[in-house]
Amino acid sequence: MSKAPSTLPEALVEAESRNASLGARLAAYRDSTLRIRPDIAKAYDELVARLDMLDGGAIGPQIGEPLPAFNLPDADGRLVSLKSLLRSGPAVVSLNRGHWCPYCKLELRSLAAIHGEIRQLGAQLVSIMPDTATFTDDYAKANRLPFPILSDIDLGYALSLGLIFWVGSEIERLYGDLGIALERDQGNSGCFLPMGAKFIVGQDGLIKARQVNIEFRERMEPEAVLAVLRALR
Amino acid sequence: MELHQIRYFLALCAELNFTRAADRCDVAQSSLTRAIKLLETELGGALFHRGRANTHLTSLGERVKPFLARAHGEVQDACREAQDFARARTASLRLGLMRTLAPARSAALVAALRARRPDIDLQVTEAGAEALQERLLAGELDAAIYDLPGLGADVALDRLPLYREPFVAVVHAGHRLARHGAVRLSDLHGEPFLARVHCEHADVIDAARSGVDAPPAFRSDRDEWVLALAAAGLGYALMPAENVHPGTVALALADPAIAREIALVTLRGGKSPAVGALVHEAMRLCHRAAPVPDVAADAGLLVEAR
Repeated sequence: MSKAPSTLPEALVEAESRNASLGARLAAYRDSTLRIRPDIAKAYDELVARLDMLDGGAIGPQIGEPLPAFNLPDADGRLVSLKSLLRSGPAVVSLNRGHWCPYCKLELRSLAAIHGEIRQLGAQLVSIMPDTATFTDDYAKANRLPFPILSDIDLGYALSLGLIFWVGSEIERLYGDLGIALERDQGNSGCFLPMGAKFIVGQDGLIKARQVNIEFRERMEPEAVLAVLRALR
Repeated sequence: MELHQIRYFLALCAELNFTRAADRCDVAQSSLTRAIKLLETELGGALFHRGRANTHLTSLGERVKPFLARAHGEVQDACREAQDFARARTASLRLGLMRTLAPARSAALVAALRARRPDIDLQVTEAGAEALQERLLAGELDAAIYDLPGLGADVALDRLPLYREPFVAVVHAGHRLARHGAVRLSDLHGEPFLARVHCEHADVIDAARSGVDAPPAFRSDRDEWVLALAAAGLGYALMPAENVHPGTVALALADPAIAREIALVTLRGGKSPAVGALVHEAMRLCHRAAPVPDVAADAGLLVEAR
């Protein structure tokens, strides 16, 4: 092992280069953050603790319930609806925080790696994030994401799922420090984010599996997504 | 954070009274109080100062309210849109364009919308900004593209900023400052001024010129005339950068920097699917378009007329 990364971008590259599960790569990046920017790690811990206190895990639509409909623009401004995704099979709907989020990047790139298998299993995959098309378009190209990224304008859809939260002034300040400008990315000055979440929806529109990550540094394993889709066959 | 909590929060913002807010939402006051309390726990601070006769927003409440109102509006729009689609209503869209806009950008938007949504029956008219706003508010237009000083404050209207267009000073090619690139208004002191009386920003320009210059040498409500007179060396004009024609030279105006903020304006709430499609299309185009350079930042750059 070469020397430990000394910046967050280096840490992201290092985490991604590991031949390990998504969970292990996310954990590696999180450990590096704790070492490189303990202030950010601490603020995140406090945020997660605050959100966890509210009602641990029961938030958002549950398994067996219908996933609320959406009709959101992709990076080219085309509207993509849940209904259109379900026409040919199940849908994997990934709620993501934004193009700037390293945890989302690790997750979406690992989903890109299994996209072929998802399609072979007859399913569609989309990511929904609050960023405007300017950012999602470049992001999808730069990361070679083969699935659409939909812009959730003003977090309306995430709100209809009950999955938005305010980042708080401390993290807002740290984001400013890191050059993360939610106001620019989202086109609003709310400083709100969606929870990271995954919903696997059957062709009947009902949720077959879900994972809502109040602890947004953890995500559903791509293997688990495939396992659910295989079970739905 | 749940949708109903936000609905209660916005009702309480409007009523500033727990009893009336609960009535408005058709829930027990205890439910509303509990929901607000939970929201306050989540946000880590009080949203309202509670007084016997005087409930009002805290600074945290003020901080989060505009966003929550927008997000809540999005959810309502989405519900309405879904219902409209279910009823398969024929989509029609009446769009107004501000008379003083250079047509290229608006034409691109109209063309893009027509290509993507040929099912929308699109009617486009042009008028002055004030007339457009009146017709929007009267329900005679579904959307309009314009700028009007003070527009941002109107609570009945949603305003999606499209682009920022600086005003430039227009002179003839042989003018002593034609090679200067950027000028201050004071550099033109004493020269004949060509006034565009139809300009929505005429007051702003008058204020900038006050005390600097004599009354205008010429007044017109047609940019062709103003440009022709400038080209003939009969004076200078101040106009939006994109309206300048060949035959004249546009000089960046460094002091005072004047700009208009062109926006797509729609009635707040209740957007039809057709308006939704236009908004999405406009977002796409304006995010892609190269931004018009900021005059102050680009002072020194010669802006040749097209």
